[in-house]
Amino acid sequence: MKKYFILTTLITFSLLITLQIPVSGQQNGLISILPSTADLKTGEEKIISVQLNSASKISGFDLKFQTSGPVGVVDFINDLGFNPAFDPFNVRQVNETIEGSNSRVAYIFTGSSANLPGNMTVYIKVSSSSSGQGKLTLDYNNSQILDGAGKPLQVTPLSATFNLNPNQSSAGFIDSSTLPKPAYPGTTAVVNIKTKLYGAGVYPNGKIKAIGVIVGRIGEGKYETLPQGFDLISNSDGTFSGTVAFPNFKDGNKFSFMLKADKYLLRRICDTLPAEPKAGGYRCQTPSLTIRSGQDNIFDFSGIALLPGDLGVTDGVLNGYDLSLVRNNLGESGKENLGLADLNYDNVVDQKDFAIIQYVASNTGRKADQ
Amino acid sequence: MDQETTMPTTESNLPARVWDYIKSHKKLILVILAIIFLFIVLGFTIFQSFKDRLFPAKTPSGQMSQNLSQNPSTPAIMQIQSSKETFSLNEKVSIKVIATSKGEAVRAFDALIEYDPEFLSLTNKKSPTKEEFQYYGSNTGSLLQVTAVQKPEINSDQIFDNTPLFEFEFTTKKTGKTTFKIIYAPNATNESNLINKESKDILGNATGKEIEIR
Repeated sequence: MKKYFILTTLITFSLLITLQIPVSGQQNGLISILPSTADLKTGEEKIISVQLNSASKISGFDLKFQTSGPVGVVDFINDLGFNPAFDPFNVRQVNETIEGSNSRVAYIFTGSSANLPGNMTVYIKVSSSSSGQGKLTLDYNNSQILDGAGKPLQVTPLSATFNLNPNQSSAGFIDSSTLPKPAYPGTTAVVNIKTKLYGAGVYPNGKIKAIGVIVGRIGEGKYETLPQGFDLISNSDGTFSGTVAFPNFKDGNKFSFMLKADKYLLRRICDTLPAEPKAGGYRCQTPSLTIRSGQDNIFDFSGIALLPGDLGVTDGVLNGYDLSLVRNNLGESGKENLGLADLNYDNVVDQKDFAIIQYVASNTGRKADQ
Repeated sequence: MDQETTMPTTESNLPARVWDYIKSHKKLILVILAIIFLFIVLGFTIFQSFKDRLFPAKTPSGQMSQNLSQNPSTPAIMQIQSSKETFSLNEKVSIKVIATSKGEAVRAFDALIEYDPEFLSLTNKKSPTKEEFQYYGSNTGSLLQVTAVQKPEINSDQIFDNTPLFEFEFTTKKTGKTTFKIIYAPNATNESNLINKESKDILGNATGKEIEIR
């Protein structure tokens, strides 16, 4: 009898493993979407929120959404909301994709499991192109939320329905002025920059991945921060803005700011208001930026422009390889092609992009700053 | 006759005998079944784990051509030629950079040529030799950098076969041996390159040129 029992148990467990049925019940990792039903005026962009909650903490998530009808996701707001506050340097975005009716956002959180967040909010910007009924649905079968130990939590169905109309939006959307800002420790230097990207105009809801490094001297010693990633976001006046934070920063007034954006050659900026008579004309002479921790350091670098030319593999030069990427993608409009060679962000790689990179090749040193 | 009657009787008893055997060896059969089931489970799990390796996804045709283009058995070549090996002091030295792309179309190229300014000074940049390409150049005093890309209005494939890419003229300054060196490293993009239609560097060999100044 005992043997029968052992055998039966063995077979049952084998079956469970094969069918990947969890032995213990999964905890729920998703709470709500707000608003779940709303009127949305056509042409307006509004923000909705998805709240995640887990008693066993959250170490990461990968959420995939699908839209139907004339509603679409146009952006995932960079900053997540945390309750209680969570160290922004332990938050890392690993994916943000918006392709037609499919969108995806994924983050991981680092730190000790006891300090991981248990309650957070993801903010999604939506808009509609025409009237009708639209729906945003979480693709819960292909989404994941991991608890503090890295185990998947149960993701339940979730959706929001929109009545898209030409008249007005309802009041339930998130007010952009109430969106959370990262709570940096006092030892952090937050740098807000504004710059131009040569050849690029307004790029609605576009985000360009960038890296910032602060280098300089403190007393007689050299000082250099670790590179910090951030997004450059398009402004309506054709400039691009971004905020980058440097932890455990040492204050000083002899700094230069190294700025590298995806597809652009690195530029070293060391003046508060740099300017150049023609693209590529500015050169850092004397590092003189004052940057302090515990405050926002605001710099307007829009008197100069980052130069496109470091396409594909980042190698610090504009040469035949970079020119070939534009030449070989002429006429293309696929996501990968645009990511490689659409230099004016008009969603096609064409003669305009070739002219932009030709200008930089002909009129500048074709090299990243040192 | 007896034998004929016995045989069918034995065959007709076979199911009963099997059933009797099963009844008397219930535990053994259950264990055998459990082991077989476990092997099936194990086999299925292993198959799932190795499925991707056993049946790799089809590669797009573009990737296939990249692999072919990087075939090390047929590397594309860039080399420097000069009109002669030995020059006298203050004589003009004309060098020509040529390339062979082993049948593959070239979309762009870069040539970085290092020279010793103690022995040579650049005195003349000759007109680009490939009209199908747009040229960009610079000279730091010891390093010549020439970049070219196929003009957008030129659609025909540009296959190099000992094709001159450009020429430069130097003047000798000092006696001795000196070398025109092509800066090249395999799989790097920031030095000399022959770039194909998939933006891959197909250059596999670069040869400089030593000259003697007497």
